[in-house]
Amino acid sequence: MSVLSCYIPEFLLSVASRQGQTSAEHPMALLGEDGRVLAVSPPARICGVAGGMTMRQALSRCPDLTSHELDMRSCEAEHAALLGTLAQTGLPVEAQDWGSAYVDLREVSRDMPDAQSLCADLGRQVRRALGDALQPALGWDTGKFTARAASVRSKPGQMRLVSQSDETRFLTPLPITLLPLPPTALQQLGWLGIRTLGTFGRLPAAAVQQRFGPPGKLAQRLAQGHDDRPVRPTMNAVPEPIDIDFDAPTDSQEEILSAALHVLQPRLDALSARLEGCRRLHAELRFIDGGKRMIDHTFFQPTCVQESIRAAMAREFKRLTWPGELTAMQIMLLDVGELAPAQLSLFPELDEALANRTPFADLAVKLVPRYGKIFWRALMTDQHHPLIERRFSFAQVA
Amino acid sequence: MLQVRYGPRVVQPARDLTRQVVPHVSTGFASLDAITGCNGIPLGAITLFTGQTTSGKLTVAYKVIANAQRARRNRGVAILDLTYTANPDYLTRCGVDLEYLLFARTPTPAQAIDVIFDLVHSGLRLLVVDGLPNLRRDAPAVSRFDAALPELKVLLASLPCAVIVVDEPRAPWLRWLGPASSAIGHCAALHIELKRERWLERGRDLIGYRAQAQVMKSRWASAGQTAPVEIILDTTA
Repeated sequence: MSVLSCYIPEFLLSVASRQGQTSAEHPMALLGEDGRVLAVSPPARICGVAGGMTMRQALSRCPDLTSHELDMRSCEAEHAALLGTLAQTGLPVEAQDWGSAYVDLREVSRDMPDAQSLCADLGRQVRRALGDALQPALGWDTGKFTARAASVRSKPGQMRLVSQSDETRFLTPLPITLLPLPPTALQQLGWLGIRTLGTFGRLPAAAVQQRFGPPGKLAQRLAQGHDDRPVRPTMNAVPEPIDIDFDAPTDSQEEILSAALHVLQPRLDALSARLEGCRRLHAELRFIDGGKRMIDHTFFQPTCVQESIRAAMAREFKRLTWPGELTAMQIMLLDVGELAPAQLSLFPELDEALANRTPFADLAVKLVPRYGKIFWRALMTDQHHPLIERRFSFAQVA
Repeated sequence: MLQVRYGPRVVQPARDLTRQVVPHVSTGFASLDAITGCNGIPLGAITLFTGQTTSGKLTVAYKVIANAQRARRNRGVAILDLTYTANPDYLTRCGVDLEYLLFARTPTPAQAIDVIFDLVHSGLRLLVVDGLPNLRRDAPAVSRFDAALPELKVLLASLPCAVIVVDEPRAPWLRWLGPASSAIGHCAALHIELKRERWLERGRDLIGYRAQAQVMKSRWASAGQTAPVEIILDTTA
């Protein structure tokens, strides 16, 4: 296999700042329809604001936080533009999280030297199409997971290629938060003192299977660098519809939801075992009078959790006008893709960039928006200069 | 009879009473540590250093910074430099690691009060507020500062952070214009006043000076005790 992962860091924030909504230098949160935080800027993240919080919770962590509603349409348009640019090459493209996708390079390049020029060319095309504000970070490997990890670890406008011989050395020190495991599983691993992919990969496979089930087993294989999942082109995917016929027509939304979730559950279980989820849900409702209504819901992140699907369907049902009792329903899970790595802020990452930061950088990031640039560090420039005031200088803490 | 009436612990022999250990940072001067009653500068409380110019109050504060850094390297120390005169060269000579020292320089004295609270909250080990006279020039800021001090005292009680305020004694004639004692004097758990006694000489060179430190107020020791403090200047400074 030969897989390229194209990843635009802070995609949603970049789209918002491109529209002039915000600047990523200030603590800022993008809110979803339900008023919960979907994305946060790095200064807000340092203050402890995370996705899923209510605005009140977020403000208690960061009083200077500003919020903007996420413009889902423009985000979708930019995401579609990314996929379109990658698909122009004629290679299979699998959509991933917002602003990221896999490209299968198997047909055109099998080894690293071949892939290098091709990846660079693709990166340039994406930058030309989306602009400098949405520069991608690229990662290449023979498997999807390592390619994705490589792209996440490289910077915008750069590319990281991992050769097969270097795979283990590359993956071993990375944090387990890169794995698309649910937060509870990551938390359990953290409590057990397992923080890196290397430690996780060395655990006995039977113990992992017993504790975390099939998703855990698959995650361990990914952590070891064994990833044989193919790139599945999203654009040409034909979803399999699920039909539900109500023998006795009903208008009870609770009954309809229970029936839908009962039928969906095996699909969701299968997705969960493959560490996948669905990003779009489409449903067609047929009523007793022959009328039809459509529901099309886009999830912020791929999900296979029954509760979030139930909540989304219930919200969509409330928006509909119901002409009568329901006789049949057809549901389609569209845009099936990899689950996004959960809460990356659960544990402190073993990040070189973080290690190189100055001791007061976090403090300054938190307080500078409130007070302005009033924090300084002293540097000894010329310790033996005859004039005392020339021996040192002050630099702003950033 | 007392033990029957009020419980077994009401009367105890003096030898059974364990001495309370106050979390502290050493000043670097053993004689000064001995008279504070808590072996140095207490954490979780406000300490006030007063003294005329060149009495050595800032040097003692810088020595405390160096000792705070030695005790806990991963927790920072900050100077709220209201005078804009902090000298990193002299700080280095006092043993301070500049890498772990933050300077805050506020454009207005009023802003300094909020900065103190935020810095104390942020997990620092020591905060030195240098230049209280500068704050006093702004009357609204003084009243805000005085009102905020009891709150700061309560906040500090729950945090392992020491706050040292460096002040100058008020001129006697100024006492006619305002209250004789300020709120900082009331809220400080430890108040040390320094007075320069004499210059120390080696041959024809001045090598430093000797100051007298007097405990004006201490929560852990009786006031009025004095200790000599010898401040030796680096000849290249």
